[in-house]
Amino acid sequence: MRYMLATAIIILIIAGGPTLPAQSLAVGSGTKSGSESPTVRHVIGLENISSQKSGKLSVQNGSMLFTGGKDVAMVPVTSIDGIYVGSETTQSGGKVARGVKTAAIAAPYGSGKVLTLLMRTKVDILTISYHGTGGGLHAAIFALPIGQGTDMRAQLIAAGAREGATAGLELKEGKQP
Amino acid sequence: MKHSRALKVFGFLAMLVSQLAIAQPAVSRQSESKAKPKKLSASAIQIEPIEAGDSSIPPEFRFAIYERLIERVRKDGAFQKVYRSGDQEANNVADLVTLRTKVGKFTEGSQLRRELTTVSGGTTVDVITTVAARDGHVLFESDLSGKVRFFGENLGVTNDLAKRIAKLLRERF
Repeated sequence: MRYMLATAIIILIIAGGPTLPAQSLAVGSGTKSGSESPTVRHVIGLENISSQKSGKLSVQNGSMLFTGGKDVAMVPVTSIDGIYVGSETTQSGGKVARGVKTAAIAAPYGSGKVLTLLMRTKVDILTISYHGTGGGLHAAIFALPIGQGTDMRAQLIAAGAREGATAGLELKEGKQP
Repeated sequence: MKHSRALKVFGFLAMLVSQLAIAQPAVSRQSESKAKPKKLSASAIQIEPIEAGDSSIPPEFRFAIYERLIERVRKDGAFQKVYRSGDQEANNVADLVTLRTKVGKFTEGSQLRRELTTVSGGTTVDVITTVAARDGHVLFESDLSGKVRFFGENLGVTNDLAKRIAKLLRERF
């Protein structure tokens, strides 16, 4: 009886799983118009902004601006000398989805793995390399809704950022970008 | 006759024991020297960007390793100062050492395959890490690899690799 109850709860979790990516995509889909700033996830690189922090990325007054609640990071566009756009398939739904997936591991016959199939999403990975005031090389990496990476790159180049070499060529020779 | 045979066996055993006793400290000394290499000293380190070598590692992975390395080495506190590549301030530091990392092999896996199968789809980065003094003299070189085997996105491999490089620096400085 107890086993059946546990199984029923797990099945309910699995059934509810697909709604999570829908919610997270709804946040991202609002940004597809191009005029609004896309909602991005800061992977790493910006000083004083924690890893995996979500926020808005925009180009304003000659600067690339990341705003995540109270945290704001600004990079002057003229200091940007490399913009690379890649893509990655990752899990949608954020921390809630991670919790649900962990709980679903207990589902019988490995049925929890269905969530992995349902909760995957493709994102653009935008990498910006720039030089700080002391000349030090910095890099900031963001995960954006698919298709938004190239838009952001175009916005940055239009604002005066340098695109840099074709991805991989400069560093392949061991030079700084 | 029996007596002399027993003596021979006893002699052989005594020789064996004495040989083992002589060999033992040598072995332990050898393993000691392997386990604990000589500690180096430097007050500052400059971290250079990751070189792709002949691999096809995407830029986001290279820059993520670079950023995570800086974060980790700063957090560890093995050096008073951690400089980024190109930082002008580093020119004035006499005992500066430079960390260079070159990718030997990069295998990009798949998060979906990892989570469904748990045995395939792993992402791996093999690198050669070199630490050199200001005059260019190589202090040490080491082969390391970062992996993500089960959960998490492919970029997680950069975190694992940075952790291993930072550990190596902590052990050597």
